Amino acid sequence: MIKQKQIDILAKIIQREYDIYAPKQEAEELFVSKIENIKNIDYFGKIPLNSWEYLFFPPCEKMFHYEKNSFQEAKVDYPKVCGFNMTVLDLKALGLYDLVFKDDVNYLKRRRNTLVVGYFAKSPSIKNYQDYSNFALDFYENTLEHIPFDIFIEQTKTGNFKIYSGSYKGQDILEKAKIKEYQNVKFAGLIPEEGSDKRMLELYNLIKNSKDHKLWAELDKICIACGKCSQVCPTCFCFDFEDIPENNSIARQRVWGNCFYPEFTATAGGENYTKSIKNKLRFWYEHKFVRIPHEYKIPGCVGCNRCSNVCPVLININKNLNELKKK
Amino acid sequence: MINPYLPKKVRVVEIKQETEDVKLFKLKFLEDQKYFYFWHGQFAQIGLPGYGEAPFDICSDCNVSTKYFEIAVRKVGFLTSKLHEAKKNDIFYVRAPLGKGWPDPKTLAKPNLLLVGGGCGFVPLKSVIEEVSGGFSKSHKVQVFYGCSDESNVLYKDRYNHWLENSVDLKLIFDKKKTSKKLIAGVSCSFGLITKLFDEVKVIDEASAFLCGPPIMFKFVVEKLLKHGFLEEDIYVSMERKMYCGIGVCQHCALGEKYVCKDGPVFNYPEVKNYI
Repeated sequence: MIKQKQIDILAKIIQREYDIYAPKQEAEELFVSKIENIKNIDYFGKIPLNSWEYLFFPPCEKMFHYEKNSFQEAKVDYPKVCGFNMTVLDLKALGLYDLVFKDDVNYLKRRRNTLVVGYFAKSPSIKNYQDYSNFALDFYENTLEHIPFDIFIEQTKTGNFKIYSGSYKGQDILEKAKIKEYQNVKFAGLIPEEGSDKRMLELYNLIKNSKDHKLWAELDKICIACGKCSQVCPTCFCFDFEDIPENNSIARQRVWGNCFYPEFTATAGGENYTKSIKNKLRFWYEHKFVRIPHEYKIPGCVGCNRCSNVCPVLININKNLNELKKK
Repeated sequence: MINPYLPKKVRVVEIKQETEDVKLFKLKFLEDQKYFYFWHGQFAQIGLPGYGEAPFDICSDCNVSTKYFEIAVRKVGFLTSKLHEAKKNDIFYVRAPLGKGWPDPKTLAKPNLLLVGGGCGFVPLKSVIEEVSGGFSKSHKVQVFYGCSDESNVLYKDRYNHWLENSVDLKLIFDKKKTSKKLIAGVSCSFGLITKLFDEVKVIDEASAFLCGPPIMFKFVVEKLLKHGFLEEDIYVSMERKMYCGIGVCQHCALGEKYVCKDGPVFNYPEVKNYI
């Protein structure tokens, strides 16, 4: 059994090479933050308020610079970053990103420089996941084969740890930390052997045919389209391009978009296809429950509940899904 | 690795002021134009440094794609105003071809072809007309309904003669301002909404229909088509949304489970009828 002391050594070894980002308690909330002192890393297994998205897909990144009458790929020093103690749900979201951005030069360059350390703490995590029936939250025997990670730490009931490696990079780090007691897990794609998640298929049909459901009209009166849900969602990845002045020339950068904001679907001809709040909400739900499952055969919502936790008007995704199930 | 967001340079080889606010640009890639192939109905993301990018339908004949391609630009905003300032030999920055275009008229279940375009929606149909006028239009019936606000906004007038000579049955209709003329560039014209043409002229039968125009037009034109015995699966529509990344990632043009930029802009009507 691996003890906390050995995990601390592992974190220190990682810190020699990488900037560590981990869940950290700040002002009574848990945030994914940069860790200076490894003693501040949270091992409770709770889901942080913000998502890990910004490590892999930053809110603003330079794509091209304009030089000698051409657009050229920007030279960026991609930082060596480690996401430490990422929950299974967040690793599912990362797996989705890896699929969505499989042809994205900037994403891949950044991703190559990251180290992913997953984490599961048995009882506290499940407690934190609340009483969810719409999502697959359980830690099954084959869960680890279907999420991406370099190293995975599982806290057992005794408070000690089990370690898994998911890549050669992970094995190297474990060896450096003199951890010999680990198992190797071979990533077998995001879809489990038993096939696509049944709850996903049910929600797919539900949301796809929900256009006239009264829930949208009800939410239309409550939601203020602040876009916080989309800011914290680990599976939101929409973006805009911006041309900005830079050193007497121009740079084209990519910035996070937000489908709740007014111009998101507006065309030059004056049409705006998600003008009403109910259309914006349905557009967002369709992304999670219709488009992603259709394209990638995996759930587009990992059930982390972040959107409900930050919503200023207390809209709860799980309640909404249950409501949609009622005719 | 190929970067799908990296635009390539094209040179403006010809500019034509088509109407008061529409210019036609003939463009040529600086490199590898001879390897450029597109299919009618596909689009291009065209931009300028500092002005971003926007989607434009390619409106030239796809059979000459290895020589040049054309776009029509209506001056409506920030980028299009700047594009309108361009002179011959200026450089635009392009990502193309993108999306899925119109089906091949030769492979459709129905032998004939009805094209219905409203306003700027006529632009993506132009490349189809160019392709079918000649071989296809001589062995099959091709009818075109073009609805426009008034005479001053009619596009591609100088091509009408060629199309008519090749048995393309083109009809014009204006919905804002009447004209005293009976013919415009040899084409008969009337006054009213585009749906009026379905009552005024004999609509060809045994045909597939290609539609492009403002969203409101689809609903009423489809109604007319169904009344005239067209089947839903023989109707194709080119959808307008905010195409942005062009490869189905950024979400701006999402339509239910599809992306207009990647799965469209041309869809078989039953695929998108819930979004019309």
